[in-house]
Amino acid sequence: MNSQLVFGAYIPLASPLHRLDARAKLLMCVWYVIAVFFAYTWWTTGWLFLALLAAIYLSRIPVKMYWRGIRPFVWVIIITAAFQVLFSSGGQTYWHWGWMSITSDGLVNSLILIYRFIVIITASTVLTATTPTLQLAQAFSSLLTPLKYIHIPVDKMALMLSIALRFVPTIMTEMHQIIDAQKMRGMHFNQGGLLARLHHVLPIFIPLFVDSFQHSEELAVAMEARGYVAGAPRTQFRQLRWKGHDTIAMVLMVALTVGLVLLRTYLS
Amino acid sequence: MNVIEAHDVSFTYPGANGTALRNLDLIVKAGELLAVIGQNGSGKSTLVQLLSGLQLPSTGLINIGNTEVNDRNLASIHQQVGIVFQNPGSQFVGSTVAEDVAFGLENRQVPSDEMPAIIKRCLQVVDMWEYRHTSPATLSGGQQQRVAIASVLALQPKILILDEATSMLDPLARQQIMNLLVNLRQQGLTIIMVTHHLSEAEQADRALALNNGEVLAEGPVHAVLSQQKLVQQLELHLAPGEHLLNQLQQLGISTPDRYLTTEEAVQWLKQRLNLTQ
Ligand SMILES: Nc1ncnc2c1ncn2[C@@H]1O[C@H](COP(=O)(O)OP(=O)(O)OP(=O)(O)O)[C@@H](O)[C@H]1O
Ligand SMILES: [Mg+2]
Repeated sequence: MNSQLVFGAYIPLASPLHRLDARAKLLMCVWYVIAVFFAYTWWTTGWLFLALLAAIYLSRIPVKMYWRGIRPFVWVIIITAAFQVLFSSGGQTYWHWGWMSITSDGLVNSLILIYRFIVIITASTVLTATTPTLQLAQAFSSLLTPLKYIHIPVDKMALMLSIALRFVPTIMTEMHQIIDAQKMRGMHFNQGGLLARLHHVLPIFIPLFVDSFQHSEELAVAMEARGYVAGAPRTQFRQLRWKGHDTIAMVLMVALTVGLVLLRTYLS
Repeated sequence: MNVIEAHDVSFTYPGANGTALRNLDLIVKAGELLAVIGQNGSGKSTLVQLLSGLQLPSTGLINIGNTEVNDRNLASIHQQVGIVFQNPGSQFVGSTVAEDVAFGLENRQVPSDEMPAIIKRCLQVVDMWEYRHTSPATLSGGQQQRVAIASVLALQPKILILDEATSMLDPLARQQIMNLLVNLRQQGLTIIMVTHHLSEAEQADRALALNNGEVLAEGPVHAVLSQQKLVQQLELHLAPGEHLLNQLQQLGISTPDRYLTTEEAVQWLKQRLNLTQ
């Protein structure tokens, strides 16, 4: 498996969005996701969608990469939307059978649900694809710095997060090696009923867990040997720098929000 | 000056049956290149862990410089000793090669603006500068080992310990790293190198042969390596020169008694051929 295909992978390019400060992008993403929950008319959803298209364009990342970000979730989206259609009521009823019915409200709600899913996944893909994971972790810890005063170990959590992210490709590779090894020993993964398949999963996860524990132990030793002491002060190689364009980006977010409020109030 | 002094050191892993290392005495002088050889499970990695303070001796005493290895002095020990581990895959912290080299510098609180120059120099030394933006997880085993070496060099240790750190490298890369080590030694770095390859060990100043947790032989490298029985017992990969001389010997051709490096073996052979022409 190519690590590029993993959801949330960074794609190194030189776009205007790549150049933004990680904190700015993180704030924008959170802000945008919150805004999405205030949009359910044609005008407001369209307005936010337009903003997302602009972000996609500015990221210089081909649209098909975003599609790859959504693809793993397609079934989740379809099933949730189907439930929403069948089990909610209100408005005009087109069809019903026992508990289930298709109503106009149900359809609208499920459309909004699909829209939110897609838009939120894509917005977070814009963030993770244009921001190296370590910078993202740094942005987290920087934005959460105030929490230090109530004794929450923000730095440790950020390091933990970045190491966890850095191990995703390693663990993926390992999982594929284990699957291959089990296949070589005559295991067929796509056969049998649910129970048989569940039975097949164990021989993958046990070695994977053992490997991960071993990794973490070795990593802990290696970190210690390179002078890491938990909680001790450290300097930062990559420094986050807030520049003019980051402030402009924030102003644009304010404009986006003002637009949203106006559309909600006057065009509904 | 002695940079490492170990007296009567023994070590047992918690919960293990046998002792991994027994009654070891070792002195390493500043600027020396020491090769540690021995079969799998003979205690080489255990020795490495003890010398870098990652494990503390069960009995006995180890001094690094003027610092005794104990749980109060670990920070100072880690500052003096740099270690490259056997398994490169699980020693990376950074999500890119450059960030990984930076990790140790961040711990040392090196100012941010001094880091890029140090990182560049160290990655160039191991010929990995062009990979600085790559994720270490996607590198080949040999490339990972180079990055691991760079990450340790960045910390400018007084003593560099490599635990089979060239095991995944191809012969050319292995020789390049060997040359690098020889260079670093000339600049005054003390180096301890665990290896299964005689062609590497023969370039050291001294050799320490371990067997079953005990010292089998210790001394100037050529004195240790010329003990044929010992070399066979340890099942080391012979250096090409040694291999050739062994074959000649089995054909009944008399060869020098002492250990010859590959280079010396070539010289010797050249002389022999000239004489018989
Ligand atoms: N974490 C551990 N817990 C218990 N026993 C261990 C542990 N690590 C090593 N040992 C045991 O200690 C002995 C020495 O192991 P060590 O790893 O030092 O060998 P080595 O010479 O480095 O071998 P190799 O060439 O395979 O790397 C072995 O018998 C091994 O089984
Ligand atoms: Mg070992």
